[in-house]
Amino acid sequence: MPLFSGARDISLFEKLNEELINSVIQTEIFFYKLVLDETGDNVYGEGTDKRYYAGIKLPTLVDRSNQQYVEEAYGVDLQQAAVFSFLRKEFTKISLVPEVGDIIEWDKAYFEIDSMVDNQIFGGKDPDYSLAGGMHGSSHSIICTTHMTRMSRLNIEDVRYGNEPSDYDFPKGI
Amino acid sequence: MARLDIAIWPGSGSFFPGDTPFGLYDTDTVFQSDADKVAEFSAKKLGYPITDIEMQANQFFACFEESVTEYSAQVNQFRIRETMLDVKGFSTGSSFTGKEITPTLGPQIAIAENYGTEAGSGGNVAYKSGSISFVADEQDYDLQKLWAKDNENGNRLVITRVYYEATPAITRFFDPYVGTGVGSQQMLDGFGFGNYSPGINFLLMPVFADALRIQAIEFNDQIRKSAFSFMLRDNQLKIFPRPEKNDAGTKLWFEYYVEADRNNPLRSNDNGIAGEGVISDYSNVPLTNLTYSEINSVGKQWIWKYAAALAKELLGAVRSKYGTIPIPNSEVSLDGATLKSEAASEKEQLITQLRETLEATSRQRQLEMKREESENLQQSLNRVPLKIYIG
Repeated sequence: MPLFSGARDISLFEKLNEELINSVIQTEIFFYKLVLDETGDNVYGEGTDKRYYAGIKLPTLVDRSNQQYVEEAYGVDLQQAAVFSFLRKEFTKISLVPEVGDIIEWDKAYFEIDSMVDNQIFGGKDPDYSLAGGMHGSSHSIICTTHMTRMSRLNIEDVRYGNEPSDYDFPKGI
Repeated sequence: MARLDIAIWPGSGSFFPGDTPFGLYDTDTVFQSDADKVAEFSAKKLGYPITDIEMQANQFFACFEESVTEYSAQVNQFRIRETMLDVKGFSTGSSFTGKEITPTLGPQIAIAENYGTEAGSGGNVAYKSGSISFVADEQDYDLQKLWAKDNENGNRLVITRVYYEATPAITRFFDPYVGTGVGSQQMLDGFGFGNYSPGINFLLMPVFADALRIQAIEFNDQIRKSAFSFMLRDNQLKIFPRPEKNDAGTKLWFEYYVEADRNNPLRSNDNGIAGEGVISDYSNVPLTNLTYSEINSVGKQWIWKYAAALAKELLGAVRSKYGTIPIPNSEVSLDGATLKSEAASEKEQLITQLRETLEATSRQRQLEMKREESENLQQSLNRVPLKIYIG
């Protein structure tokens, strides 16, 4: 039985992480989970009419790059990449499994998850699969690499009027 | 997946007897009510509610208990230092805690008794007397063999006096009041006093006349006769002159004590048991932990601050098991080392302050302060102008 990285230590880490991320930094996003059953696709299997579950507020750490304005055939396009780092516990306690294609709303923009890393394993043990038992180690985080996506493709928010009920009638993509 | 969710300080505690490791003060109602307050006070000193405190209520209570015990220990250490000479050798039966200890001369006298023993005036070792019988023509006598073997279990004797000396000269001195033999009879006759009873002398003689006469008799014995003398080496007694046949069986007395009695460092207590049940050293002075509710406000303030320092040290220990901890996609350093360092400094300051305060209340310092006060007062009064008396 390892002497370090026991469940008590992990509990301490989680408390400190929660304090740091949820209370001290407190950067929060809305996480939109894609509803596959409700999402229509075309003959190529492309999701043309995406639908999402209602957004869930989650604390996170954001590492963003600068906005870039790229000349495209149709004109100037705004692009931005961002990495959202979540405490894995935030997902497990609400039984939410993030996947590629899910949307993160942050800072007046929507970011689509391109890839995810679930590899910050403390003590070299993920308690779900560790041969040393479930009382040691921790799979600590889920890191989502994203890019800014077009609001108009998501059907989450009315591009022209926004989601304010008095301005426009719900529901739309949600 | 098995997980633990270890609770941390929720913002308040609820003390219940048994929550401290030793339970030294758990039944003290004032301690019970103060325990929750001290926990809250310490947590707030550590940053709660702005920051989380990774401690539980029981840990704060343990710090509080340790703080009271540390205060007790410091006060008791001071009392031991202050009174050790007075209480050493006293029964351990009753506690000194909360009682005034009056200085006594007992220990000093106990030390002086050793000198008394050697000087043969007082002391705490029994002086005994023994005797041997003369054997005709035998000058050497082994006191260890002849006396100690049968009477003192062979223990070594320290001979302090040998009663082997000539008959006092006074016994061979005519009654000085008789007046005869002193060369004054003729003079008395001249005054017409010679016809009175020989038991009466009307001539006032100075006492040195008697002393000189006795001395003359003793000198005569020592120089012209075989004076009585002896030599004692290693408890082998050699007497002079050689006993004659008619001296055989005559007892020679001597005074002694047993060397082991003199060297015995274990003193008898009130019950006569040597060295047992009495205060021997720092470790068995009967002082108990103080009663928390009886500690004054000055002491309580010290205890609360020390408890907060202990809590900081404990939090530092919690936060320094791992120098850095993971956060998503990175890691952060904790302030455990800083907390421990600060706590050590605070503890040291509090201990130093308490010791200095205790030292200032010592008997010696109090007397010095009184003396200084008196001297200063005298100097002040010296500057007061005196009235000029006009008669």
